[in-house]
Amino acid sequence: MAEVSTQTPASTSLTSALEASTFRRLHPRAYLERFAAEGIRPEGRVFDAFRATSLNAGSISTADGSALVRIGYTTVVCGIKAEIAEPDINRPNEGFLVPNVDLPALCSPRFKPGPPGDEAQVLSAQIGDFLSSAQVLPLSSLLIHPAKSAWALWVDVTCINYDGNVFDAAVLAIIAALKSCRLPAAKYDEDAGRTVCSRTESHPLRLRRTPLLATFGIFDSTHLFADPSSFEESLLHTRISIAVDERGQLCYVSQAGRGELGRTPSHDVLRLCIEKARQRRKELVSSLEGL
Amino acid sequence: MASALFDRRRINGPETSHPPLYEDELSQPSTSTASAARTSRAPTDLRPIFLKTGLITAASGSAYLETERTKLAVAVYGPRQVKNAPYSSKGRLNVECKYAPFASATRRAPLKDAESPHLSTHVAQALLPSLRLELLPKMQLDVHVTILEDDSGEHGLVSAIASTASAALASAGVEMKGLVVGVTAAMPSSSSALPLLLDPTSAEARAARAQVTLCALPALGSVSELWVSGALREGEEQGVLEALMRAGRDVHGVLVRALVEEAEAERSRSEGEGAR
Repeated sequence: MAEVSTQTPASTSLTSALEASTFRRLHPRAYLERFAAEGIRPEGRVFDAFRATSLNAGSISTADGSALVRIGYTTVVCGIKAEIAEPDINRPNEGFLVPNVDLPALCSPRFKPGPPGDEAQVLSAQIGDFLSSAQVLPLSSLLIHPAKSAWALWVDVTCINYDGNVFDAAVLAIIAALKSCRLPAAKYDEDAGRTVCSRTESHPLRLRRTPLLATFGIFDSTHLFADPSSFEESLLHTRISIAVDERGQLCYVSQAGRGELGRTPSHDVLRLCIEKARQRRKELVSSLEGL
Repeated sequence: MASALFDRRRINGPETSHPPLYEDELSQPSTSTASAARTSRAPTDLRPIFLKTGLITAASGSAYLETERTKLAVAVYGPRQVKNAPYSSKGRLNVECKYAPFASATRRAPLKDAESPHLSTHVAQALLPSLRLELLPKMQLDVHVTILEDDSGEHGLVSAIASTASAALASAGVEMKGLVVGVTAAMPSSSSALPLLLDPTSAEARAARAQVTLCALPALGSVSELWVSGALREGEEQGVLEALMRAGRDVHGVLVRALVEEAEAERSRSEGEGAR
């Protein structure tokens, strides 16, 4: 078909960019299928590549520990505030570790202002589960005086830019913030009934392990994607998250979805993800300071 | 004293907890009111401003501001349609300012102290005169602000947010008459010999006897908001306003540079794609 075109190369690429973004908007699944068939993902990543990750710990002076993490465009900030509280009656020798994730209306148009929506609640619950079951920080190390005084660490994660995989970013930010956290030396004064802290002495937290999370998704029961972006997340039928600690031990596994990957049986898919998670942890620890 | 109500949508901690009490606070219960002389910069110097636009990819426009220990992020969504509201020939501007729980010296519980309608009202007042809302019937502009670290006090935050939000609105391509910049001055208490301190830190703000926040459009030479709290002495206001307008022009230069940088980066990116 002969066509007389008066378009310049620049304007041709502009119209083709417009066509591509319209196609992406109207037929997201077909758009992703076209890329996957070529062995690549929309931003040019291969299937098992994680996005560029950066970490900046201790930058917030008002927080006792803090970290800013970027995975691709996803940006989260974690801040830890340490306060003093009376231990729970049923757990007189333990302090508190209270994680919460906030997905404000700022980070994405899908969130409305107001109380936490479903996604934020699920993330907070998953992170709470993860921290307690992986035994990251033994709560007995936060005790100041049995049954009278203990540290309560309020760990708050705020998402600044949402581009998928906030779970990985939040876990990385929390672990880095916990590592950077310093608590003042505290003594409980029995006579006055209060706890007094030192301005001069402080100590870091006694973390038992530092597990890091890697999340994967399965697209079309055919392809395994590592570190899904927000565009891909809505099209994946299965999400698998694996946490591995510094000794290579598994700390957390979660699978949501059928877990079919071609002809591979489910448990082999999990094994594959665990291997990739171990590799991811090695890369992260070698490239990031403060871990 | 942080007393948390049971919130079924969040993970709850202990019912009551309080910030740590330090040994030096025991012997001197009241904080000294004499403000220590400012050492790191001159009284009329602003803190160095780092402003970058476009960091929040999902938003129509965004800006991130960092001045020493004050950090905040602003995202603009819109103009988008107002649902469930009667027709209005002028657009609406919604500003929502929120503190992160770790942003201040004392933790802000999400339910109780995190949102600040007070700040939001001042910022909205500062931005309104610059926007051409009559061009956006039945539409609204949502400006969301998250304060990550606060070392400016409320007055300082209003001016910082106004400047950042104006840059974010410009980055979003919203039509405006000019960029809004905000600057704050604190008048130290009588024991100090200095006349005024520009861009006070929160410690300087707490020790001041009066604070003045000016939000203006330097390109047009007009003022959009003036907020004074405390007692100004007779004849002081002239000098303060002149100093603030001068400083506002410097801030305006920073905003313009940041927006030009973003536009040039955008242009070279699209040219690079066209050449391929």
